[in-house]
Amino acid sequence: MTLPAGVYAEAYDQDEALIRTRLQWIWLLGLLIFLVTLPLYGGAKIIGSMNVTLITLVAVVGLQINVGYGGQVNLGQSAFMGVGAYTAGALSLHLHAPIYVTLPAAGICAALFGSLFGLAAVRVKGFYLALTTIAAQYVFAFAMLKLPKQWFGQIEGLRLNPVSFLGFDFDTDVRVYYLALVIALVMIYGAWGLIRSRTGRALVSVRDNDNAAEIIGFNVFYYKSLSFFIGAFYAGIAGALWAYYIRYVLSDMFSLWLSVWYLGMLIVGGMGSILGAIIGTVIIRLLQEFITYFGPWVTEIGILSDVGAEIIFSSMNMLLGCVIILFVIFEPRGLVHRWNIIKESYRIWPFPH
Amino acid sequence: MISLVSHMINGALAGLLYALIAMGFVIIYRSSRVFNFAQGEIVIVGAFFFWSFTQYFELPIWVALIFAFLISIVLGLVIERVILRPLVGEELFALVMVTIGLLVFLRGAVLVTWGAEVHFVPPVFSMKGLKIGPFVLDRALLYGGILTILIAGLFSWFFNKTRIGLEMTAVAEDHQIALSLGLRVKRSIAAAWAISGGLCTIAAVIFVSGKGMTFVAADIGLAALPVALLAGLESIGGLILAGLLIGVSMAIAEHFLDPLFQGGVGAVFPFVVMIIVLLIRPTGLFGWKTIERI
Amino acid sequence: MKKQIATLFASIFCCVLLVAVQVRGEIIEYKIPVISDFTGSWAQLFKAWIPMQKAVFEWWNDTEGKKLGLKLDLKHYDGRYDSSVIASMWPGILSECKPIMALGGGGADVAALQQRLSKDEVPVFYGTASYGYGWLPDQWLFQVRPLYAQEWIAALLWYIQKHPEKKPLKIAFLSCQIAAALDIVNGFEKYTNDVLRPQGLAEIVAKEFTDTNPVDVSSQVKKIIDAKADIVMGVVTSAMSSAYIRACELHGVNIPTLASPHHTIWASGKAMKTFAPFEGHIVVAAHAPVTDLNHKSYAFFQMLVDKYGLDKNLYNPYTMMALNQSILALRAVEHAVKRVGRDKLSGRAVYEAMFAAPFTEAELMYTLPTLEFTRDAPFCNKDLKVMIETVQDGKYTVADPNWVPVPADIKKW
Repeated sequence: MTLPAGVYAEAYDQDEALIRTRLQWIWLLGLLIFLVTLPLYGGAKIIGSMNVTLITLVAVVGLQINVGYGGQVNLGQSAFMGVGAYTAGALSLHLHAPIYVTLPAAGICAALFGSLFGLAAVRVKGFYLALTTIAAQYVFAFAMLKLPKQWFGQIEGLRLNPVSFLGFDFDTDVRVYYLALVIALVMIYGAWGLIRSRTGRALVSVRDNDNAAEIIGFNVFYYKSLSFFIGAFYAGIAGALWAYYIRYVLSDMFSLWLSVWYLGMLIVGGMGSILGAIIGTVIIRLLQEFITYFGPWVTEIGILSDVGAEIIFSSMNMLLGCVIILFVIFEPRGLVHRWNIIKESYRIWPFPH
Repeated sequence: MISLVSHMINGALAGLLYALIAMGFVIIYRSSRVFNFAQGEIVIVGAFFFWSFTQYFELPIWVALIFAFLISIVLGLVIERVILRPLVGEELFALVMVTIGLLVFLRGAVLVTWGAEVHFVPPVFSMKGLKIGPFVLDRALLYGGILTILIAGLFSWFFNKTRIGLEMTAVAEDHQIALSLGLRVKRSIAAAWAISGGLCTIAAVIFVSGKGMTFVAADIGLAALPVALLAGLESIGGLILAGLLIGVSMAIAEHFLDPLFQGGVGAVFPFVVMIIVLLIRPTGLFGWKTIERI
Repeated sequence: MKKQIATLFASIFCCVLLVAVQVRGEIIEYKIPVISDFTGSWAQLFKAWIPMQKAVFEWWNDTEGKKLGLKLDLKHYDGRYDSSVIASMWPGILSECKPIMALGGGGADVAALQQRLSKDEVPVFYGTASYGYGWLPDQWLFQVRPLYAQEWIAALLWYIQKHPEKKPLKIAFLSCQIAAALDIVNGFEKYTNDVLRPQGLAEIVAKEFTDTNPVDVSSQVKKIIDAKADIVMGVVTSAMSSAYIRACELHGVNIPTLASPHHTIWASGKAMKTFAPFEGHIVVAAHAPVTDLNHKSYAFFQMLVDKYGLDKNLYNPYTMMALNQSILALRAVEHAVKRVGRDKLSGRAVYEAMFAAPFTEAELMYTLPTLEFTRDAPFCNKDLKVMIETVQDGKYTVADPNWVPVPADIKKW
């Protein structure tokens, strides 16, 4: 196979295609086959962390649309996820609604809750907005603990049975993996389509300069709310998946820290790129898993005593903090930028980049 | 009735403590347009240093206080120099994320250094309450509140009347323009971080004086957010008013709503007030109105 | 006759062979995962737990374990007291350890695991007391202590008996918004209103709420004083307890609190370097009192100190939880081996063994009273008794040298 000297389209169809070269098709198919067959050789440990990764991915891709494309700082993603989880949980518990009802319903409810805070975005900007969305967290926690016990169980939370689809129970890690994989792929595909549409471009123009966007005829009010609506919709879907994986929903699970991590994933991966959201999620999740498994290993081989273990784990927190700080300072456009450089230099080879 | 008034007075004093912590936010924001999410963590680092000096090195309280104060100033300077200086002129997201990274980092550092046990901080002020008529006031919070008002007055004057203060304010407006006018942007930002670090220690000592604390106490940084936002992120004098407003309204809300909701109103109420006010006045009560250009 | 002798010999031979295999056979090793919290909100507790868990397991491996041909190795995981962390690492733990049981941390892992344990077939043991919302049948998690509310009600009745002049006792709640605290308040309130108030024994006069890490509780305490409360309940964090003590000093009163040992006196008193402010306060738990060094459980602890290098300062309410948790888990494994043999040991075997026979006080090294588990609750709900401790003349000590019974008429709420 010869290397391409630049990628060029010969027809409009080619120019519009999401996947543009044969090599990309090969890579994509390879990746899909890998993901679908992963449970065959992956082992339970990998499937377990993949489930959480896929769920996180859905929430982070949504956050990318909201923050990276829409330009609206959002520190409430985890609360929106919680709304989705509670919606899906309550619907399947009380009404025995099937998954094809609960999943969209979870998305919509979270989206409505999200746009409530998006309304503030119309008037409030920048840091003010970041902090307003923190309020979503407090309102969510308060509401879930105080609403009637018959709805959301208050402090007891909601306990769910495995979700089933056409008589098929998603009751093992592997089965949940396929559910999460399919949903995540659909959601990512949707995100890719969305950002290339008129709506996506409108979001970007509002992000880049909302005053200018308004003057050239975009309804800024609508697009800012929409940005929160979409971001929270993704969070809601992620929350529903979470509810079906853990089968227990409690407001404590959806803490402000989770939102902070999601933003950290965006920074590491790169703002304003769906691929960046994916890369960031995978890298940070790998780092988290590494810490989870590295800690016990250190104590096991006996380099350090028990007191040492405690210090190791605490130091890991410091390490994660460092990673975020270093990325912001030295690679502010995220890993996806590095990846694009590599890709470009490959494409225009043999010319120097 | 007496119970309600007593509740309101205590709420006002707690509100002033929030205002003092929020002042740390505001001074940094004024000079560098950075909102420091790690403020609560810096407060706790100051408190832990104070604990170390009194309990571990067994220094007299006032000496320990001065040492902790100096260390916090140094900490502020180090954070500015190492983390924020490379980001001067970067976009908002970078600044949000870097302080969030700092928060995660400092939380780990506190755990590594001091561990997770309860640390009891010796009282700086007498633990006996001050009796005024039917009301009993906490001395630490009362003196702290008075100190907060004095400091707020001092800094208001400093930033609005003195040459250096006005320079720092000008730096906040636009780093590039300030630089081209010959103002020392870096020094100004460094000074803001140093001041903020020092304020954090004062807040820490008032907050934990005579109490047990763990690293979780850093959450007070989040509790102080609504006060900073309500005042508008630029106004120092406004903080006092916002602190009192939040503290008193929270006390009233707790008094009447807690029995209905089985408690918990106190945590969420300041945020609700904040959102409502921001919807009416998007830059808070006293924030600067900026004119945006296309 | 010949045939019978042959059979006899054959069976003797078989027995000898079995014993030989038993003695010479490899010791079977199991990895026991421990869900800990090194960097989350309860790190202070877990730091004290780990050496205790290790010492108890080492002791067991050396003694009972050797007899049974088993070795149980602890493996600590940092769950950060965060259910999403625990949920993502649990499948990995399952495949890595193939656990026959696990030691749990607290609420966060209960939330993450409760729904799946019966399918994973891993019983998980907890060292804490239980909550009303966890009072469900057929659970795979086991708690060494009954409900907090049960323990507290027992202590309250004891207190009423000691202070008949205060009848009806005026109870005030000073509580916070964490699920655990609200649950205790709910359970306690129901019992007081349904049982105690009609008998004229106690009534609730105030219900105040504060943050988990409060700045100041003086106005709440003022209301409690105005309501003329005799006892305060619901102080469940050390930050709350030190703020409460401070507010009491402020108002110049001392209304005793009733709580669990790890909530108030010990943690705050140790940090303050004096127990004096807690004069007359009481703590209650359904396990041996840490202040009574003549109690038989202390002898066991002393042995761990002497032989397994445990720090002698580790006999306190925190480590007691780890001690209880470990000892119950280990005895459960023994019971299971006795039922199915060491080769068929599995999570289900340990689970079934929990209900097969009671765990006697002697088996539990006297740190716990005799426990008898049934399928209708994740804790022992039969013949419950508690120990009560207090501060007397500035000294943290037992309030009553005898076990105090828990009333049996406490209903689910």
